[in-house]
Amino acid sequence: MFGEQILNGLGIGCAYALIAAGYNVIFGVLKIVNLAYGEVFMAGAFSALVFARFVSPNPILMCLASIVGASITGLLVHFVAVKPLGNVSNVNSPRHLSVVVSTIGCSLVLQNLALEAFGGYTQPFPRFTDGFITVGRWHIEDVLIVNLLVTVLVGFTVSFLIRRTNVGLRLRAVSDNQVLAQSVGINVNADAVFSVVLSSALAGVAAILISQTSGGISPFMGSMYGFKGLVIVIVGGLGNTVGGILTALVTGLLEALTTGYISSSYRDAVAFGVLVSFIVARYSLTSRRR
Amino acid sequence: MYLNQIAVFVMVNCILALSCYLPLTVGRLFICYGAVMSIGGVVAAEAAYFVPMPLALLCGGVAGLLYAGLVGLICWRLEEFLFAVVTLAIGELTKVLVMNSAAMGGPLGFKNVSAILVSPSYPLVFLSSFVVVLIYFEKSLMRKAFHFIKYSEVTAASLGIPVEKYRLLAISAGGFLAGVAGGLYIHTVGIIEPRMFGFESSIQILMFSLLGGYGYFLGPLVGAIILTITPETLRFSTSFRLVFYGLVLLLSTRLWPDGWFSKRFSISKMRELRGS
Repeated sequence: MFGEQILNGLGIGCAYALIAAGYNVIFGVLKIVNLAYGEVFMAGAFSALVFARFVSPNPILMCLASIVGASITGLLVHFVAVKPLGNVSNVNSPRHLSVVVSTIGCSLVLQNLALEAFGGYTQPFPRFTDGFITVGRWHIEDVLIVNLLVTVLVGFTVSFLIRRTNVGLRLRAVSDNQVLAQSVGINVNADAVFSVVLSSALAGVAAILISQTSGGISPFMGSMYGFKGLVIVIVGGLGNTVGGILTALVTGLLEALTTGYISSSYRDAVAFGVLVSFIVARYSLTSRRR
Repeated sequence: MYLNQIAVFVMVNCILALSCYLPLTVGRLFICYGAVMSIGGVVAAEAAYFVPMPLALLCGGVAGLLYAGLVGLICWRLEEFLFAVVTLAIGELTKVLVMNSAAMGGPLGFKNVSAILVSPSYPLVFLSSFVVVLIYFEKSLMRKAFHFIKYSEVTAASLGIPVEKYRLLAISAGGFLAGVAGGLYIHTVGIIEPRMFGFESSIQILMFSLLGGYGYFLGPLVGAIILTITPETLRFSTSFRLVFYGLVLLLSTRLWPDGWFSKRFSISKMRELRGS
């Protein structure tokens, strides 16, 4: 029982980790917090569903469809809601509030368009495998193992991309110091677009993973997971990828253990409560008096 | 009757917009007034069984003040952005807890209301008295201190302004307004759903100020009036109402980054002062 809960938690935590990594990629390069990111994630899930219904229910193709759908939506959000507001270099600047408002507006538009197109109820999502693996007394769902493998694979790919390739070098340069990067001839706008596509692709993969574990998707999933991902990223430290992934895994574990041992209705309460008390302990109590 | 209801909603939303405006004057984005308002509403509805209506509404206001003050204490000395996210998370936390508690109505919402107010007199009286207080507040020395806190904490502290205490004051005062608005809301609609505690309604409240402009207290009022009436006039297409609403948000951040109405202390003025 306990081991299965741990695995369940890791399965959910993996998807959260991908969402957190996506937030961090956008934050690193653009220095904004995109509140429409949850909707990008939701768009990925629904494009996979539409693809499965009308074209083919092949898992890999569905995953690609999710990535493409999420990327298109992410670019749309970027060019409609973020880019026109100009350069926003500091989260604490008053200018940043306008990004918050415009991305919220974007997420309202996307969520309600999805509501119109697909209806408000939860749609069943085709599961790729339904099997179990039995190890000793544990019954492990195949889906969880696939989730773990996919996350590890994606994680290593992204980390390779960021650390070893030319594009990754440019992204790191831009996120380190945008002005300096520009002055040595890096096309910051092109890299911003690339980072948006990268983070949207991560959201697309995460959407597939979550719809595999939960078995259904709805237009409201975006705001819920997007918001949870945001809190996770803040706890892990904005721009700190490893911290974000660890927090995501811990959150997934907490949720699974709460569902297993207390009640599923307190799942979000425990997750939020722990995250909030962590932020308060980390930043509020320890900060020196000014 | 219908116009009457809309007038009440406009006034309740105006009070909510003012509640969110107060923390914004000290540079804090307090995104949990949805929860504060709903708690005020529940307390006011319970109190209305024992005391006359105006007193019950004030009880709701005090409950809102206490809750907002508590949240403000929890978020003591958090930076601007962290503060916003933590308040958002506390609002969600409150929603989940409310959904699990029978006393607050559980998942179906709190419906235990003694009377439904039809006339817009109560909201009108409360709104106008708040507006009078705010007119005096805008001219006061404290408003200048608040502006210094928002513009530069270090400068404010060096001038001897108690930064964190004033912040808490602004947040709790906003909580009082939100609590009163919650009392008015529940006595008009008759129900507070758990959804009202969550971040959707908090963000909605925030929108009034952000779009109206929060340099002067008239901005949030203008924002509340326009944003309340717009969805009502869009009723001809109920399905695409929120899409239009989102488009309004998108467009107005591009066209009026300072908000629709911001006479004093606007963002561009602040940027000028900061020299950036």
